Amino acid sequence: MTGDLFSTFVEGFFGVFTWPVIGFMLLGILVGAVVGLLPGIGAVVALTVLLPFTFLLEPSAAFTLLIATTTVSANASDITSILFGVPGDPASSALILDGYPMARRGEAGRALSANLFASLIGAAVGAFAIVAAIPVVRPLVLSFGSPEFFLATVIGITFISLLSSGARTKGLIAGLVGLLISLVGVDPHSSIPRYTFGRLELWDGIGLAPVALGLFAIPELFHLIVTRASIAQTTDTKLGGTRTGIADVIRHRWLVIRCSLIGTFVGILPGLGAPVSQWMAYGHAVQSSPNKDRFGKGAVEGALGPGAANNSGLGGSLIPTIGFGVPGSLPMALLLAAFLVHGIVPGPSMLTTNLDLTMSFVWVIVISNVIFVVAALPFLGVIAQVTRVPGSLLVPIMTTLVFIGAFAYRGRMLDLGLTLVAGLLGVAMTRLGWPRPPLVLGMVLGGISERYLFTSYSRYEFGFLLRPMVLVLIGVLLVVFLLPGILRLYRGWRTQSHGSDQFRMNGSEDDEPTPALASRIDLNLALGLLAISGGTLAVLRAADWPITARLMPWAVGFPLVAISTLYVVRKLLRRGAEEVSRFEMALTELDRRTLWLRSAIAACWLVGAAAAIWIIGFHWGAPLATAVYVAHLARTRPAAAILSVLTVTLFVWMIHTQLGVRFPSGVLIG
Amino acid sequence: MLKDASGLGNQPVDLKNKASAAAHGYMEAPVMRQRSHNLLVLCVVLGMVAGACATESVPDTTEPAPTVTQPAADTTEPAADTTQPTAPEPVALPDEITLLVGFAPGGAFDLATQVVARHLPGHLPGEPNVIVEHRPGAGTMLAANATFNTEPQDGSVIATFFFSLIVEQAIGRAEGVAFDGREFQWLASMRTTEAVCFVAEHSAIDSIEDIMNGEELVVSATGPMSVSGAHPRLLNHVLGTNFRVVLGYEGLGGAFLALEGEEVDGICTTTDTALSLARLDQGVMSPIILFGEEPPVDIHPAYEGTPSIWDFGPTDSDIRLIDLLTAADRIYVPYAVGPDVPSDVVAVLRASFESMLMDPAFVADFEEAGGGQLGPSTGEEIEEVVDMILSTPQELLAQLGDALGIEE
Repeated sequence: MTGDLFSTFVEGFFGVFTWPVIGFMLLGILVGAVVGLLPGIGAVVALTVLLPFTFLLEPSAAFTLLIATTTVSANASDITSILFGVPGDPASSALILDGYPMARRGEAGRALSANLFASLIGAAVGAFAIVAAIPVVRPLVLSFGSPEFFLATVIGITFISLLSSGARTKGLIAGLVGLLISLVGVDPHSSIPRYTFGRLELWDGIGLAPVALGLFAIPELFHLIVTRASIAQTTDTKLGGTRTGIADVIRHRWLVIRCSLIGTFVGILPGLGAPVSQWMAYGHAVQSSPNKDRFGKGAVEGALGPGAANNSGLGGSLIPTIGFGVPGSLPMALLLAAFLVHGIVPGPSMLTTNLDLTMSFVWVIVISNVIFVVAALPFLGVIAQVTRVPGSLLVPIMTTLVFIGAFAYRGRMLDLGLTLVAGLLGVAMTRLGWPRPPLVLGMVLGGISERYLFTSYSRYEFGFLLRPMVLVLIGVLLVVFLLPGILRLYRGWRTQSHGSDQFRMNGSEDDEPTPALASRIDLNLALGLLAISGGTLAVLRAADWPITARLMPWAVGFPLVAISTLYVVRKLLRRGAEEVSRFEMALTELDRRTLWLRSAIAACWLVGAAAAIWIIGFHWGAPLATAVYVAHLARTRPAAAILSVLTVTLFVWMIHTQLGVRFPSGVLIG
Repeated sequence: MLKDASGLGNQPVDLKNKASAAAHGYMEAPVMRQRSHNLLVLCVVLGMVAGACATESVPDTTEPAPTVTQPAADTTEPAADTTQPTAPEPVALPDEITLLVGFAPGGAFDLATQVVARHLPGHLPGEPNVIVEHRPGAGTMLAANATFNTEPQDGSVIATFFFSLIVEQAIGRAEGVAFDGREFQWLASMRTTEAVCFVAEHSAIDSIEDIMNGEELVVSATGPMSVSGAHPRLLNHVLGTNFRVVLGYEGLGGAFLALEGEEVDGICTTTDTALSLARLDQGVMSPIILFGEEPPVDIHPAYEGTPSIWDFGPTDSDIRLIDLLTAADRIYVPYAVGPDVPSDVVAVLRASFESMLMDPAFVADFEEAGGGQLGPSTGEEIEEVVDMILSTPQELLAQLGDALGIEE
């Protein structure tokens, strides 16, 4: 068996280098690179376009094309996240926390090369881990039932605490809000539409793409509009740094490998995947670092950990897809459709008689990654120059792409509105030092953990808690995650109440011992009150639902109300200093009045741009918004202004014609 | 075919007025020269836009579901036209026709529709451009509601959605139904499926009689209205079986994973699903009861000798319930246009679908890439089934709703 395994493995390698397979791989790399670089648009859009086309191809060529596209788009999305602070794909949002600050500092080249090189290692580790695990992977996955999967999601949720370091209360509130957001939609058990406000678009829940784009992209665009600067804030440093990046990866090799394994393992669990594993890898990078304060300000570990996990997860998520027919993500669902059309049915045969096919997938992942990284490395210095482009030119293009990304994810105009709401929240959270990662992690884990909880309960009732694997996982959870967390929390509160400023990360401005009540009434308080009222409404709204639909909203809603009330009360009583998350940086030297005025202008322009797109469609709305921006707000030179408008028009047209994204014509024109 | 009397037809006009009012306000904004005022104007415009947004959502929500009591407006006249080999008068078809899929890409509906999109243009007069658009949401209800209410009524939008929506409309307990199945103008459907329940090899149960005699069979299911959720509960109602349905698995793949991991002991799904056939090949499960009358041995030899629900002498009211629930299995991947599409356009579209379904090139392509065997129904046949579903007596529908565990 092992001999067979090895020879199939070697044959798979050479199989990739036969014509036309290699040709389709190169095509996939190209398509993946383009869609990956576009913010919000990722493998899903590309695969949707390619899928009907692949039915006409030979199976090996078809799968090579699809897998290469998926792999490289994950890689290329990382580049967008690092360069622009705009998630290239929701699954690479974690890179914004440290990769983007590096780009700002003028170290884009280093961040990119560290990330790409780590991705490469991640893809290789992931692929080889799968190969090594092939003899045991089926029994392993089958030994996991709904109760074990539920515990795995709970372990994921505990990472919320890791991602809130520096601002535990705020992080906990954000995480609970994220969990609550994940409950929007028809509940899987009794089919009751929860928190949908009568809108059918919300029945399937709130999409990750609009929220991730809103939370991460909008604040950066906002920042560019307000500061009127380019992304890189310094001009003196080298934008290259490619070699330093590679050296960083070698220096942190064990972290890279550990993060790769996290990615693989999370990828294997059905229903999870890169949107979860990137945060767990990031949390692990923070947790394992001796100097946690560097994170959020451009620590290179934050750029390489999630990059590795993101790519290693691809190999992992192939396992449930091809071994069991359970796609963990939309790209995998599309891949599954392609398998079925080509007569390949997922199941044990993929790990025995069709093993050669599985091996060729593994090789396509590794080789397309290598080709992309090797091809991209020499150009990283050039790519990094983008961070020096003046914001006035960048803003309209990025805004257009962000809105297109938000729309293209599910083809709904309502998602533009969601992006704006998430963007407003994102701006407030960044300015006030509330960590955004817990919100996103809560959002990706809440729905799925509820699903597994209910299948577990409805199958075994409370007996599911006594299954041996569940007990082991509970033990792991208690010892590894909760215990240190509780101890730290306890110590933190004790030191805090003794007046230590251990939790103040950014040298907060209110150092005076007893400030007047008026100064305690600020926007933080508003967010706290918002959380209280949101939680209260969620709890009240759930009151007349059957227990199956109500349990999770209450399990999340009551703690949310309690903790945010505690936060508000403590704040009013001035117990302890204002927490500021280490991941969020207030960054401006502008005086208060200019800041507010420009913020108002930025907000109005962003909302106006979305409104214009809604009213007269992307084709006209995006150029119009661009024209308003360049001519009126940024006051660029006429030539540059015309160039901007033309570029945006061209972009929309290209995405429409070349990627086949169907834009609605706008409520006025339609 | 007079449809203008229905209140629903007026809404799009209303909407447009509101939207254009908001748009006028917006267009004025860039003309303003003073920057601070500019701001205010933009913000005011936003308020108006928000207002328009709010009003737009109204038709979706507050519009009462159309009553099902009014008799069906039978639309059999156009059928006479379509059977004529030459459809002489040129009917103005739109230049571009969108096939609106109520699911995300990659599923059975998408696969079938992609094949249709490749072949339909050749059968339409003037060979218009045919494109596929996905609008997933609310178990395809989003696409159905949009096609009924807000999409253009000129034949440029042909939708495909779950036929079980009509059953949900009949039961009348589902939220969000903003269409009337009888007013949809049905063109054709692509596939016919049959439901079946399987028992896993690891279970001690080996026949339906065991479950009828009180032994419990735990089955995994996705949602309450899916075949995996609804059909075993119907069996409990009709045959007095003891299926315990565990709901909430993520997709059919998730439900099968639970079976293989021995979390559940059985599953109900359709006879020709690739996932089922592969597991029949491996011998990890065997069929115990069919919803069709004859064992589909042409699909898989394992179905040989499997009893059917019809073998157990269902009562007349049970027969109606079985017919009602299995209608959605028989009409799989249906295509329909909205209620106000002119009848001559509908006639041309129906004729085009019919001619496409006869085309050997289409049949061959569908068998290869359509996601299953071709088993078409005509628009007229679908109309009859819709009529059957919606004319079911209320007390029977209430019984079905209770049996399926659908909350009022």
